[in-house]
Amino acid sequence: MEQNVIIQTFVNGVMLSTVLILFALGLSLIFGIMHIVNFAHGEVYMLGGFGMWWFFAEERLIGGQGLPGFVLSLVLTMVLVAFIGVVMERLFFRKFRGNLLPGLIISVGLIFVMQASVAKGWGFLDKAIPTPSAFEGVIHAAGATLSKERLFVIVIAVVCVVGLYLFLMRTRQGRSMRACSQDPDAAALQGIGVDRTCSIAMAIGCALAAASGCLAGSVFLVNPYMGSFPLLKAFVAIILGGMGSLPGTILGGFVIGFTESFGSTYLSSTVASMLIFLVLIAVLVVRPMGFFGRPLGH
Amino acid sequence: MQSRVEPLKNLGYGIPLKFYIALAAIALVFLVPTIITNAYYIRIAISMTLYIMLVMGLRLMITGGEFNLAIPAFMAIGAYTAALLMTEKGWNWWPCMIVAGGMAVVIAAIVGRIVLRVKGIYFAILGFALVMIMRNVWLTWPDLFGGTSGISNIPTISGLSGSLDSFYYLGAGLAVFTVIIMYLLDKSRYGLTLKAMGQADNLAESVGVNVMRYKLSAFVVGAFFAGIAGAFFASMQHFIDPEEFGFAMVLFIILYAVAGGMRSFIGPIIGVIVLLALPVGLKEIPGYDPKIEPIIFGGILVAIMLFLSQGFVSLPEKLLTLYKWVRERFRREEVEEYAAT
Repeated sequence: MEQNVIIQTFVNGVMLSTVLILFALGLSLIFGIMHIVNFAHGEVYMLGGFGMWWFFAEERLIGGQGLPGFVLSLVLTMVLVAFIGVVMERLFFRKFRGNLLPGLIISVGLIFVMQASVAKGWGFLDKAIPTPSAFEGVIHAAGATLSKERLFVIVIAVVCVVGLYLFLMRTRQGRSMRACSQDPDAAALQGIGVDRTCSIAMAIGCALAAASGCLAGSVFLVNPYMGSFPLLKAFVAIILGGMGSLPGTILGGFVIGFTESFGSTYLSSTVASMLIFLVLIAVLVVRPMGFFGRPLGH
Repeated sequence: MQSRVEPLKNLGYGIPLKFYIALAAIALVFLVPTIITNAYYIRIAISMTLYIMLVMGLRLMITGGEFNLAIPAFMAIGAYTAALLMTEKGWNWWPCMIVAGGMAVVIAAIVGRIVLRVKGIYFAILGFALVMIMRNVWLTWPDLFGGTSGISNIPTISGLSGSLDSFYYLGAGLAVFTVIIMYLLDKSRYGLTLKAMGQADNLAESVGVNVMRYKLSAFVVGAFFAGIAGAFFASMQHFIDPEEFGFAMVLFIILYAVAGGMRSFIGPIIGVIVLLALPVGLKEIPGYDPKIEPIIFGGILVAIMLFLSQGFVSLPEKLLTLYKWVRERFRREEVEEYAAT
């Protein structure tokens, strides 16, 4: 009995971590390249959840509510939200690139606009996204009962993270992105289009947040205010790992996900979320730049 | 020896004109309930006094170069302290207010030492995290703090008639007190040191300023006024719950302070007054849907950041420059026309 609780909690922790990591990687990528702290990232995630609801739960695409429909809705939502991200970058963030506080404030303005627009358009009540019929039910493994849906979410999230890794490490565009995050001026001198790279980074970051929103929305519920808690957890994960460091973000994401799942199983969910912040403060006291961080001015 | 006479700068006895304007403004503040009798407007005016107490704390810290988003956490501490003392121990409001402010100060002094180890964007995010930690504290011990339903039946303030007007007078008194203290701090050597730190904290440190101590004191002062505001809020509302002091309040404080203009002293106050009064005016428009209010607020914030980075207070100056530019433009055209003939 005790062992299967641990396994279930572990799988739950992996699910929470991977969904959070998808979200936080986007935020970290945008921060690393543009030096913008995008508070509206939670709202991008919310848009992802709503895209999934609109396309999939309302059955607006071919494929219906089966697996093809789910994947098609996921991809379409990611593309649409990536486009919104590019527009946001061009209109609002480009002017404040490398300027942390104004960037933060303008993203706060965007939070107001996006939350209220979605609440006006689709109402502020919780909306459920059905599970694709292929993933209903549970699997019995090693004495534990695991929901297929959560395993499926983990698989999709891992595919996205591996895709991002391959993009950054194996493609020319990915290399220029890494160059921009190290030193934008030197990158520009090498003939890398910094503006274009930033647009792409924003598109990828927003697409990842949208994917995270789709997956979280299909496990939990969708509403216009769903973005603020993942945002906070993602900040904690990013600060733990060191701002702008993607491996650090992944490590931080796992710390948060497991703290949350084991904390809420063995203690209570509010104690678990408090624990997350206490971990954050403890790490910052010992190592103010996080695990892999570089020193950073204002 | 100053040879140029500036008649408008003072009205005799060496008292500057600004002082009389401030006196008139304070008198006007206390005349509000006699001018306005609509209960809804008075309610808005009370929230203005509350938010003024909060944004002044944010503004003090901004002069020191740090963006303190933890203000609602300390407001919550003040509100819960006062509410518990009044409902459980049956205390009078006035000592509760002092204890609430004191509690906020003590907690700010302890927590501040930890969170001020980091600066810039890290500090801003930690402040935001503090707000969420306090929210979880209230939810974790429901026996003591009432959980999601919060604390209700908080008694009214003794010595006050309990009418809306009386709450307004008290709130206005507290807000004016806050503003005066903040003004004195701003103009003192202390404020000057904070401003120096805001421009270059390394440089300030190198000339012997204890940066940590100054930041901590600004943090604590902001927390004190937020704590008092919380005590006032608890008694005025008669109930509090954890969601009142959450993410939304952080966003609104940023909105008011930034929209008004953070660099000037009067800016955040103007931001609070204009943006809280705005929905009142908008409601008069027929067919207006209050649901789009946040869209308007967000739009204002974005527009301010893009086109008017110093906030509402810099609007007259901006308009003047624009006017001069336009006039110059037309004059040049006239000259060109003349030259063409």
